[in-house]
Amino acid sequence: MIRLFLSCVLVLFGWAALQTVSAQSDSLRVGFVGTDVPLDRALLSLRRTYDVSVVYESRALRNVEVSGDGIERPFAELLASWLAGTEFTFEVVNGTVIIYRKSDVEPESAQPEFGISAAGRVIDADTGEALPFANLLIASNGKGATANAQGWFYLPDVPADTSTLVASFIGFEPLQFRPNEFPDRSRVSLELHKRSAVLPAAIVKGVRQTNVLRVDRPSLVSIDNDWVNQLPNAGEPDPIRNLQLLPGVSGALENSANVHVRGGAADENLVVYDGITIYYLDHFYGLFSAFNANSVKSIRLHKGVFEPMYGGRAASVIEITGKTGNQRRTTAKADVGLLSAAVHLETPILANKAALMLSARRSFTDVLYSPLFQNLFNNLYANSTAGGAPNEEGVFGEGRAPDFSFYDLTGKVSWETEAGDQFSFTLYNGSDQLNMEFSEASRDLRFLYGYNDQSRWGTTGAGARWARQWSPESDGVLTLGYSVFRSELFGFDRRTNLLIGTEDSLFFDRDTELSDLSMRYDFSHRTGKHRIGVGTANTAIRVENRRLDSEGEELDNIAAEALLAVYLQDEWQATDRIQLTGGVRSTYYSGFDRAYHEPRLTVRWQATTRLGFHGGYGRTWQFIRNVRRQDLFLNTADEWRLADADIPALRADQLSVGTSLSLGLISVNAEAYLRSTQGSIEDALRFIAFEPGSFANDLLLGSGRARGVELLVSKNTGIHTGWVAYTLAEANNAFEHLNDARVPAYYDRRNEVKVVYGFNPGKYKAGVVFVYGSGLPFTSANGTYTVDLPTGEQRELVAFSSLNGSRLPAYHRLDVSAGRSFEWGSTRSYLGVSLYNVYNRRNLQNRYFFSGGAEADDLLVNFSDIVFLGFVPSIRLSIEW
Amino acid sequence: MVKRIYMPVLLLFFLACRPDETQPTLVMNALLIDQQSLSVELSVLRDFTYEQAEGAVVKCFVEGMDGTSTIALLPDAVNPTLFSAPEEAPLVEAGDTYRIEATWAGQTARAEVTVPMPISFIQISSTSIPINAASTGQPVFSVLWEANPGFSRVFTLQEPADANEIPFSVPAGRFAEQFRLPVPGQGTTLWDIDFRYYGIHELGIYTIDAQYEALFFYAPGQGGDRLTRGPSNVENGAGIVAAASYTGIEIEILE
Repeated sequence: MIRLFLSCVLVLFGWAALQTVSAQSDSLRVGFVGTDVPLDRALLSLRRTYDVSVVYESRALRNVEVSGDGIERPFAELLASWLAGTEFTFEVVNGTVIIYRKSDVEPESAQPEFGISAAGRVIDADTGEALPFANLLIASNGKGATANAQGWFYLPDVPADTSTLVASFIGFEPLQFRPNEFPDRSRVSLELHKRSAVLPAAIVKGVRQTNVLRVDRPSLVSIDNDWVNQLPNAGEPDPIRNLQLLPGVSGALENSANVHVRGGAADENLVVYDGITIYYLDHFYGLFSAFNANSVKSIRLHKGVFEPMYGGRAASVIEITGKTGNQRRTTAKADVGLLSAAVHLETPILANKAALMLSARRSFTDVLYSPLFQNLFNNLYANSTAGGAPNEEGVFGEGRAPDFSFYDLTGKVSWETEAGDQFSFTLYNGSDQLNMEFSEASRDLRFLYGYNDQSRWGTTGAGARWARQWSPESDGVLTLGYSVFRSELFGFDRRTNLLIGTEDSLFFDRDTELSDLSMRYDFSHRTGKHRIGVGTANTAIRVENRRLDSEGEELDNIAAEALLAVYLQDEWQATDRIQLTGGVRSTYYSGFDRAYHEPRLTVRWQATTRLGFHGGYGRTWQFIRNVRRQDLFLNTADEWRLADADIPALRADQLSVGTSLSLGLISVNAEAYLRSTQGSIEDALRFIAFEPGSFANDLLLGSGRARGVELLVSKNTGIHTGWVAYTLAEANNAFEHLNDARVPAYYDRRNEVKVVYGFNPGKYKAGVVFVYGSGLPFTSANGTYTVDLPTGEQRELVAFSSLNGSRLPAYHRLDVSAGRSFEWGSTRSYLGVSLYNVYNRRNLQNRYFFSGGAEADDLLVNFSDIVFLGFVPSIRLSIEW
Repeated sequence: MVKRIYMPVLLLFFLACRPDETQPTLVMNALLIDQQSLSVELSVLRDFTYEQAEGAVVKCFVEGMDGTSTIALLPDAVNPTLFSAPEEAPLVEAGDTYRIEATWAGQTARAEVTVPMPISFIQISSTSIPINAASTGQPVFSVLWEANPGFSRVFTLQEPADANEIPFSVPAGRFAEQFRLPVPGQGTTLWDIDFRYYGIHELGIYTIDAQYEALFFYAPGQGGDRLTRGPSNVENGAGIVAAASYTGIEIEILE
């Protein structure tokens, strides 16, 4: 039976992930000299010196130390002496020596089965929640599988039912198990425990724990939401901002809405929260994401070349899985900071079957003007005020203050049946509102400005999901999602000329409504070495933009289109070391009445257990675009537009290659990419004199190109964890209106370094983040000149640099956080202090130029810097029951 | 091994630091008018404090003055920013394309312009116009020319010096208000109240190119508005090198 097992090892898995050499036998006489040498190194020496054929798991033998006197003897005899008293033994199969753990094969009486598969589910031992996308691994050969979003997994080609398997999930302690420990190995239930507060900086149970981030496959990164929440923040824990600390994601933009992935614009990211497509991610004008960290279970970022099952956006997919709720006991959590308070409740409805999760957060910024709020709002206001207004003066005081608040509410009910059906229903509602009315004089005291802004915007969404494990090999997920974003902006501004007493006023009214109704079904089936996925994703999108202002201009844009997509993909384990994932996605877009095809292919080659390479190509199409207006942003009118005759669809092609290397506790990932786009757009407002009256005429249309190299060095285990990420990137566009000359994209940042460090010695936690980014491009007004007209008049003109032709100073900041947890019985609390931008670096986001003159020919050029946040201290208290 | 990993990172980090290189921008302004001599005004961009940067233009060339040759422009003795073609150089010709190049402080700015063809009259009403001072406004002169698509016209009115003022009972001199901006079309009409004086006037009709037209409509912004980029056809510099053809009509206003 043992021979059969060993033959299976050889036949089923060949030589993959194992150290092998060409043919030889156990009778070959060998000699070895050395004292207390790790066995894997001794074997490596023998393989190099003699032509022995031996198969073993290198990592497993590292802790066995052996010695040799150099006298030659039969290899089997030497090996037997080395393995005596250890947990290992060996056999010779067809002339090849195979070393394995004795425990890998049960006693003959147990009659182990070979070449089996295992299936089941990975859940949180504390709450009973599924652990989405958990990893499963065969310890002896390093092969594995990934669970689906509901925690279901299928692991084929397990050598034997006695083989050691390991389940792991980021932030949880790995679980080692054998299939024969379960009565039905097609319904294995694996319960993982959250990692303990203190982890030794060592390999636990033979599998490295991943407490920080995980790079699963090419361009796919997961971050431990709990771990990053200990990092410094700008007043609120923010899952989206944490993504900006990864390589390839712009990390120096300080705005949750500004996630730029590999040279893609912010609108090129598909953000899905439990099936609900989210178009606006942020609260507080982008300072914080609209996702309450308490309600998020996991976040995965797909950069660039993603599987055919994902689509609709050109740059990335941000897949947020919400918590489903505790099925075993009622838990509650309350948070309070300097801006908001939050409550979070999880409770079983039916024990181990159904649960309810409720999470709510509301700012108290409309009733309590904390120093943090004043600091943040003053910064926003200064950045958004028309030229002539003070740049850094506050809006608080003298009986005036903005009436601003935000809230978000998330609810989820989940239910599992005996038959294995899982149902969940998610509701989300997040909103911001601002009422502000006040007056102030211009810096030169020539004008008195009066402002009255009334704004309200937010997203409401609902998602329903039915997941069924049809068989151990097959599963299907039906997802229905609906989201609607509404924005109502109304402003009434007065300007009084204090010198001549005239007054003029203007108003604007801009309303946007964007709804997205989607239905998708994803079916996956595993057979042999293939995992085949097939599905459909259908979306109906309606966009309504209305603009009305005091000049009577009314531009309505109402459009509704449908996107019908189907995909077919196959994950093929071509050899033990090579895996190919390929397929195609085809999308019919009703706006252009045609289908668009998106081929995708990735190749992974696991050269050794430590070293892997990957590469991929993917094409994506995007039919809904966000037009970034260059207006001041408190009156922002960024608009989503469906592709039409004026707004082209965006096509992106990306090629990427990379490598990953494991060096003990350190992991290194490097990736290079090349990306080209057709259909790039950029707002040219005030840059080029277009014909008035047409929205589209303000836009530059063209193509884009981005390329870059990303390097990630991370330490995922132990008291000291974190990473260093470096990105060298370039993103530029060529617009027809600019004679196709290449100009930098407005978010093009050439160099970016992020150092993230977490210190977690028990009750205490600390975090340090340092971000450096070279300067962003901007369009600079370089000066003025005068031209004489034949009519005798003169025109004074402003000369600008080329579009985005100048660079702002480099960006850098250092954030520090520290906290301590307390326990009183079953109550746990955490008090954390965060210091954002500790040395108060004045980082520039943009620089805009304005005329200080009262009349058209009274040109007085001035500029105003839009600055990022300065020093922001904050404190937050969390209590859990 | 760890050092091997971090060294490239540190190296790239330092490579990230690049010095800013900024130079004053050369401004090239010219209006090439059919059958007039060519001159170009060269300066550097004023910064926002309206101070002129130091520097001098070292050379300025015009290519294609007569189709093939290159002519060096000479600085004016009085105004060193004005560069003109030598006296023996041919005048600007309608229909010709000129490429002007100026080098200053290592920068070379270039612009190319084609001189539009002058208008060809189809019909002109009487150019001797008696005016009734009691009029409150009526058309008194019209002109029609052949279509010239793509070009607009700018009008000037040269008034007689030391002439008697027309004693209109309504405000006169409307021309300055009516003809401020370029207009397309094949003709125009003048009213009696466009004139202020008796005597001989010259109605100037400039056929201008698109660059110059854009200049008229340019509004840089005011009172806190964001600034708008001015139209320019100068490569590696700023300014406008435009061209026009001029046609004058003598009009006599009679008592």
